[in-house]
Amino acid sequence: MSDLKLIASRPEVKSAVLSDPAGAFLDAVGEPDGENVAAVTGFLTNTMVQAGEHLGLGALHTISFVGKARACLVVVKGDSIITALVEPPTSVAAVEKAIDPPDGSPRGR
Amino acid sequence: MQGILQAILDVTGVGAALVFDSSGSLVSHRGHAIYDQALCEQLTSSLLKAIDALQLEQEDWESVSARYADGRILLRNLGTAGGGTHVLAVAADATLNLSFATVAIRVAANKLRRALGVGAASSAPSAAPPPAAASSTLLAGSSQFAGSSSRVGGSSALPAGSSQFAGSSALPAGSSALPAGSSVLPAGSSVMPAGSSVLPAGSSVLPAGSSVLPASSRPADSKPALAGSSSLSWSQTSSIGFSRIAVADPASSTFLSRSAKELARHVGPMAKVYVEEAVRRVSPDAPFSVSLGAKFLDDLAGQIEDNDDRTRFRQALALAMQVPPADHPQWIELVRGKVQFKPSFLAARMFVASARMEVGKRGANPELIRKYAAGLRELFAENADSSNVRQDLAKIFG
Repeated sequence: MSDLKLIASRPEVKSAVLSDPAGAFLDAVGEPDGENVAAVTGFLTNTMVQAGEHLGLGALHTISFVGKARACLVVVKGDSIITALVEPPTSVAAVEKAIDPPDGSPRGR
Repeated sequence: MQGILQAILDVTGVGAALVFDSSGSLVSHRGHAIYDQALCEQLTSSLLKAIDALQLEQEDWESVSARYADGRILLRNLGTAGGGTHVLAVAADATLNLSFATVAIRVAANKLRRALGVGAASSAPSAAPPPAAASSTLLAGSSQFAGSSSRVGGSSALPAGSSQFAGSSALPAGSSALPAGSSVLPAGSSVMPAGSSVLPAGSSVLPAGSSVLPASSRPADSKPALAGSSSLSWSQTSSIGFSRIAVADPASSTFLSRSAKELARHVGPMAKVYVEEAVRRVSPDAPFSVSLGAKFLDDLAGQIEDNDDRTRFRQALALAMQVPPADHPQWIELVRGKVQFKPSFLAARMFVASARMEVGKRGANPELIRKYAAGLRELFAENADSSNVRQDLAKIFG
């Protein structure tokens, strides 16, 4: 089973999108507008990488943003980015722990 | 407000805490010496773009956590006050005690909301952002922080447990998890200039580090300029502020800024200090000139311990320097929309779309066009190691 399907199989994950750092859409599960999500995530990842570089924080591993009803988790793995929509938002930490193993290969420049 | 931010700074691992608004203005910041105002403004510029983007996905965002190999950036939406949304940002290294930081941030956020007058206002519909902020956003069609009333309402009340910052209980005001003085300040950082503001408010339209004017569009002034000595000094030409360094011409200052930014990828915020020291070693008696570039880069590369990183640093600088200058007609034509080219580099595509909208809206103001051309050039130079960027450059310049 692919990473994407594995992630999407978690009950808290409502949809998941696989994309690359340039914002290109690669695959999606449960997300009808994967191309839009991929573009936004690509841009977001780039700017956060840039922010991290200003501070010398090294490679970016994950970004999570939390709202009232849902959360979004972006996991950077090598040259691919997985974006997972998580409900309820309180589950985002658990999902992050589950899908981002400590020995994963983060993206960095 | 400084006292509130200090409480966050007292938590182990926290390097800086800052509050900025939707126009990109740094409202307040507190950090160890290396996290000076110039660096915080750079950070603000990047974070502003990130927030614009994430709001496309989640308008009602309350908190953001970005985890890096060597630290974290944490953001907290403080809600809307005085027509603009405020955000609390915390930069931390890998030693961060996340539990303590979570509590300290929640306490600080509540206090900051009161200090900013957000509490009552946050349940009201969001006011439109100031025109300057709305027009300077990088994302075409998305005004910065502009959101629906539900987002604003949501941001005012943070339901317990609704975010990864949720903690068990609030600490007393101003309490810190660890004693003050748990600084991560590297040795020698005291030489950093404090409060050297270099970015004008609302400069988010340009990528971090982009010049207000392209170097070549400035008058060729052979008179050495003392960096940071005036509002028209070297610091205006870059987002990386320096002090007490004389440069021979604007091109030299651009070169130094680019070098510092590239070095920062490998050594962090100490890059500015290393650049200043390298300039003093390479050109102790005369204003620094770009003709000393090779010697300067040799000296600077010596600050990077890892061989691979050192090679990457040299390669990246070489690539960045190959990007045509900002006054090249093709940049201007791209910004004006005379060249119908859609960059494959996503950030550039968005920048070009935003620039064309602005230029179309405000008319063909040469100053504005030059500003966007410089920003676009800087965006390409910053990402010159990307294959998409190289591909785009080849198509644009042949």
